[in-house]
Amino acid sequence: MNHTNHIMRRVAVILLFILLNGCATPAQPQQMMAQSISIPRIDQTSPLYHAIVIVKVHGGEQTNPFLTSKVGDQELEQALRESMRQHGFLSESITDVPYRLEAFLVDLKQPLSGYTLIVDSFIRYKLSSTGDGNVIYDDIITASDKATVDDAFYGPNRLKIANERSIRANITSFMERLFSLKVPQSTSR
Amino acid sequence: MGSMPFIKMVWWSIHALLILSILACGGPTGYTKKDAWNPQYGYSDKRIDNDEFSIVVTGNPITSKEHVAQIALLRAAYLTREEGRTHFLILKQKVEVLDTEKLIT
Repeated sequence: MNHTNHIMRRVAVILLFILLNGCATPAQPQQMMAQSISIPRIDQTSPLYHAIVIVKVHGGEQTNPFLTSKVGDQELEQALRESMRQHGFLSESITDVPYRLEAFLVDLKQPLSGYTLIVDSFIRYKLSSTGDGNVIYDDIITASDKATVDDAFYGPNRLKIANERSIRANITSFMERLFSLKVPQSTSR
Repeated sequence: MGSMPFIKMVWWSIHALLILSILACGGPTGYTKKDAWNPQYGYSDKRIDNDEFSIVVTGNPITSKEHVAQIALLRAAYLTREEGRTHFLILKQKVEVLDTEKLIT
């Protein structure tokens, strides 16, 4: 009887541990930032150097701890902002800035289950001129990345990692496009 | 001798399950909303601005791109009516064929 109670208590503790650690958590901004090694910092002579302000990031979703991990607006904005700052695109000022950027998370396609989880992210980036409102760049970027059991044994954590990697790949792709974008010298400065 | 009816029963059960699963999978994705019970295929929409919406349609592997586009158009028409408007304009569209091999075990 004592032995049985002992085993039952151990099982209860393990179950409680799993329950407490099983809550879904949102994607973290630091894990979604663009990888600096794949793209260089923009040159100071470029018209996009310190020339972009992020005006709006939306389309994200709040994470319900009892469901699946999602990507929220604030986390996505923070990741995008830091990525742009690291690569020299972000303006230090919010006034008198030549270009404005709006990002919208169109969709985050997540698998239902699996040992390897592949997440597809679709983000629309719209870069326009502050002065005349001309659209310089407007496209939806798609990126996929995955997380395996080696990354996280527990499913919700594995999905969170896959989300973060997909968004990181998406923002990295956008940085690469910005880097190669041909923009006329702005006259508003 | 006694095991023969059992083997037959298993054989028929397997075939019945196969037939049922094929029937359950059905045909191409129809005009259905993605939700908690059906998170993989169908349509979903998000408001971008007062007058601007994003519509995403995901079709199963046997759904053609043209059919997916039709579902998106239909959803746009319904949304237009729900918003009390009479017309809609397509500002941007993108079609992606995603890798269907998502489960790698």
